Amino acid sequence: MGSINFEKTLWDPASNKPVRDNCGGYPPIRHTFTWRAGFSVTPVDKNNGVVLIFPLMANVVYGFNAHKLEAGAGIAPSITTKGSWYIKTPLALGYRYEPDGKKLFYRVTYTPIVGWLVDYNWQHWAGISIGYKLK
Amino acid sequence: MKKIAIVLIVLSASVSCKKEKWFAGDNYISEGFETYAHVDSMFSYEDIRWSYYQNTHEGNYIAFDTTIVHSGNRSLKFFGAAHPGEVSKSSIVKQEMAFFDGDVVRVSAWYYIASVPSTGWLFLFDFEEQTAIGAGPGIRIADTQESGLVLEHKFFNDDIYQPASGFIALPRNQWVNITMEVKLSQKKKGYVKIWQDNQLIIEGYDRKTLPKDFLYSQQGTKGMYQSIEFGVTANSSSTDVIMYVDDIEVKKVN
Repeated sequence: MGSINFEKTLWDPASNKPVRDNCGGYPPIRHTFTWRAGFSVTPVDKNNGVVLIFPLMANVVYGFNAHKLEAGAGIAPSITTKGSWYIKTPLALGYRYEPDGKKLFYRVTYTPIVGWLVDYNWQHWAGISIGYKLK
Repeated sequence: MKKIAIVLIVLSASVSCKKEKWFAGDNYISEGFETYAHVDSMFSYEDIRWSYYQNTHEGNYIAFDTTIVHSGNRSLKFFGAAHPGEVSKSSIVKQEMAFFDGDVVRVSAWYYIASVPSTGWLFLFDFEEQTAIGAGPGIRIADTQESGLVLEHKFFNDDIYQPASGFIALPRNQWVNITMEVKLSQKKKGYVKIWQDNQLIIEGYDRKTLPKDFLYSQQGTKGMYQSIEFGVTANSSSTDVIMYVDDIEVKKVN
């Protein structure tokens, strides 16, 4: 039901090409692209063992100061300790509170899991996250 | 990002559209156990009749019987020894079947249980999905001492019991016909009815009768059932079970 993730900025257009607005200042709204890799584990049963999940996400963070909208999509390959594997697509759409100058940030996200490999199905899930900036 | 999304959507649509073709299989079987030379000849490599049998513990066995039969000259006898704390199985399975979302399937079989009722659950029939990751989810018919036959969901859904007041017990030492009709649905658009000797004892409507993926612990459901299992599909009781089965018929009826 949970995962641990590492996130890194992939592309930050505002920091590379700052553009002044009509008043001579820099517009506060900006978007940033990030990638995120994670790990999760959940038990199945004695015949399947446990399943190891490796979600890999690409995200866009768009927002005003500390308040940001975040959307993402990715793939989540998984393999059990008995050797069975599968791939699903996690999606994310949520709110990210990331105050400047603070190490901690928070998210509340709608996180559906989409299956498409043998049949299309859509699971509704949501999550909360706490992040810590390493630098 | 757009390219990835387009590729996923196209792949998803193309895979989904071909599901009935990719997972095609039998949707009918009738079995009276009359024509086989020996038990092993029931199980061919091509799954023409049955796919395999399982006896999970030493002492469990299946064998043709000619003394207790419902019709013809033979029934199939299952012996599932009690193993407290473990699930004991003695059953036959047919895979490569294909019952899809929207199908109405009728399962009928005659059972003769020679052992005494016990406090554990005795499973008589399983419908199973075969998933890439998961525990073979599906629906199962179980006999319980407390409430007679029960429809158990081996996925996240409530089981269906007979009315608590005046449930009909499954008798011992006599032939009993159990018939189940189920409309398959991954949404709450299915139904289940179970008759015991032509008397409707369990019914449930607007129900989810097919399993769906659940997080990452159950992945690869296809909106269909692919296997059927008869016999002592699970004996969790503290007593040995002797069961005879005859005149099986499983078919799509719509």
